[in-house]
Amino acid sequence: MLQDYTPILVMFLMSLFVPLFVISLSAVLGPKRGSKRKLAPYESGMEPIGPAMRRFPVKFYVVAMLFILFDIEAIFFFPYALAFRDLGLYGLGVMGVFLVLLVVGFVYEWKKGALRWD
Amino acid sequence: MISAVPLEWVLILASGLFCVGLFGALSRRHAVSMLMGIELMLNAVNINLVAFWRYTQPDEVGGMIFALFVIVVAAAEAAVGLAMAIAIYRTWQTVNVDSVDSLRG
Amino acid sequence: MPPEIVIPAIDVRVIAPMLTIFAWATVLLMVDLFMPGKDRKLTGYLALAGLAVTALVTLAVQPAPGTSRTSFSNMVVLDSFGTTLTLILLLIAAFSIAISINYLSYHNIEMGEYYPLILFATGGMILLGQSTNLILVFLGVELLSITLYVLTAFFYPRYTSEEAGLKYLLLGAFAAGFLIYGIALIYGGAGTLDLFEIGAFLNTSLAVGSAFPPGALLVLIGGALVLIGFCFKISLVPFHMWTPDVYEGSPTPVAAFMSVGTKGAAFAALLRILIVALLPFKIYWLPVLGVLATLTMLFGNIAALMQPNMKRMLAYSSVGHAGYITIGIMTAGTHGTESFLFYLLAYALANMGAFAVLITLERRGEMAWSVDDFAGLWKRYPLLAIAMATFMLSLAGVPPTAGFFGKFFVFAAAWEDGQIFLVFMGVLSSAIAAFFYLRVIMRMFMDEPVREVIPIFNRGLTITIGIAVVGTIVFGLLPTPLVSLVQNSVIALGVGG
Repeated sequence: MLQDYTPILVMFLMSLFVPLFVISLSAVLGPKRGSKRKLAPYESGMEPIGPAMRRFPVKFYVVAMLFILFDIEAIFFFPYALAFRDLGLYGLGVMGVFLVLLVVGFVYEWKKGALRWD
Repeated sequence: MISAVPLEWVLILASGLFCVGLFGALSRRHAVSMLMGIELMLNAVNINLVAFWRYTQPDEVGGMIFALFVIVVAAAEAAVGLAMAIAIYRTWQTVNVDSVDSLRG
Repeated sequence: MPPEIVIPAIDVRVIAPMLTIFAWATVLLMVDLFMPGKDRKLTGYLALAGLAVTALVTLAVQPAPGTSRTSFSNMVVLDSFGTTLTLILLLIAAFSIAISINYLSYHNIEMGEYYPLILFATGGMILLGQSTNLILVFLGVELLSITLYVLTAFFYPRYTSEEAGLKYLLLGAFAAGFLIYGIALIYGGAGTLDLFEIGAFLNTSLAVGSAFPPGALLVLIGGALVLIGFCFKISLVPFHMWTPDVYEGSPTPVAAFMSVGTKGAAFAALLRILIVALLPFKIYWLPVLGVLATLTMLFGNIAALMQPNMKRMLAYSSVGHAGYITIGIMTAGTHGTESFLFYLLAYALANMGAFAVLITLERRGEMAWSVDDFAGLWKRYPLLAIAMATFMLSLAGVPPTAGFFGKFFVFAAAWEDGQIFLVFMGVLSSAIAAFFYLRVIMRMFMDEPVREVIPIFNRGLTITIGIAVVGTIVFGLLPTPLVSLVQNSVIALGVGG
């Protein structure tokens, strides 16, 4: 049983090995002649100002939160997708009710302006 | 077929993960980090549920369905938690739970 | 080979109360969304109408006495215990909404979401009281908890409210972790999430021999973790730390709703788990609950003694009352559930009333009431003072109030069960409790006013206080109809019994 998966394991190891090999090859073989200009973060352009980890606006959080909710609620469609032939009309009706509830949540956040960006 | 990994190992993994989450929830002072610890605890439970389902009751779906519900409830809890963290930050200018402490008798 | 899919027989009557309240809440959310203007009072009245409709539906589908209906593969049960509990919970929700309608606009936090959230939480409580499957128990707990996290923090941007919300959320989520870890272990041990089947499993596996089978051991450990999870929700000492902070920070109507509704529903679910599923383990959980109840009664009442702030005092007093209700739960295996239900109703009336009186005295922008605010209330507002005195007497358990009979039934059942020590500790802690309840009465009737306090009255508050006073006194003088009601509220021990 488990042996059936050996090709996948081999494939996985190969795909891990090839990029590692190529990257390390270029690092070993490539010439390294650094100068002050070359070692700067940007060879041409501005010196970086301030740290890259900036505080970003709270609205990203709001969108992320809403995304999590709708993304996770879609989880209930997976069992339905597996069994929808057997469930027939009954299952369709139940999932319809579930979808209506999702839409209610969506309409709510829309009207509340949570989706407006500015 | 699945005897390659005994049930006990999976349970040990889950209890280990639960303890990591417990430690995280108790030791961190940042509200979001505490929430992350709690999420770990819930995920440990999911491992438990799915393992028990697969090893002992593969003919019915109770454990698997419960795991789905736990995932959804955890997401809802996390969403409310993050929203509250934002609200706390706006009113208190910090999310450190040691600083957010004005109620006492 | 995937398991064959069998759609279970569905009896909509079993979930009709929940269905009504959830549908009403969802529609109300939408109606509120499209309602013009800033005034949200109409939403509140519509929510009250929803509670009334749900109560009618509950009465319409109630099972004949002594029978029960199960449906959805035995996941939910409708028995007379569930029906009575549902009606009590609806009453509590109606009180909470009635005292909220003017409170929200007065404190500038009038948002329409408030009322659907209360309805959703009430639906979660009803679900908790009716579920016979651990999945639904978990869903009910989370449904009422998550809505209450939001309601606790509803006083945005008051910083104590946000703090209370965060504390409640972190501890509640933490407790939920224990709860489902325990449920997972029970599932692993018994191989089922159905309460009836867990009970049957324990009966057969414990009957086999003297050795303790590993499956039953897992169920025992899981049961202990579930108990810890519930102890957080019903704030038994030593899991009560969050209670005073959360009650103090949250909007007062929410604190009132939480103090009675959450406790009632969580206790009902715990009762069902203990009686239906874990009855074979009674030798284990009985002493544990006894210790918890003793600690809770003593600590809650002693801590309440030290509180100058009325809201915190009521919070600690609710911790103490959780201890008495625990005694009611412990005797439910032998004496039915009547002492639990009677106590819950008496406590609900007195506590909702006391919180309503607090709201009349609440000023805009203030968050602490000391007992001083009640000093001399009798001289200026005699009716309010009499109402408050009634609630305090009922909470203290002094006749002729409903609270007296609540305590009496709980202690009588425990006495017949041979729990003499518990009865002794209960009476002792009641004596301690009487001290601080009577202190409020003394301040109201004996002292001169300390500072000028002008109560605010409105229809919702007046009606709530009126009903609570009348109920407390009527059930204190004539407990018989209520007793016969709760005596007929039998918990379903088997499928379709």
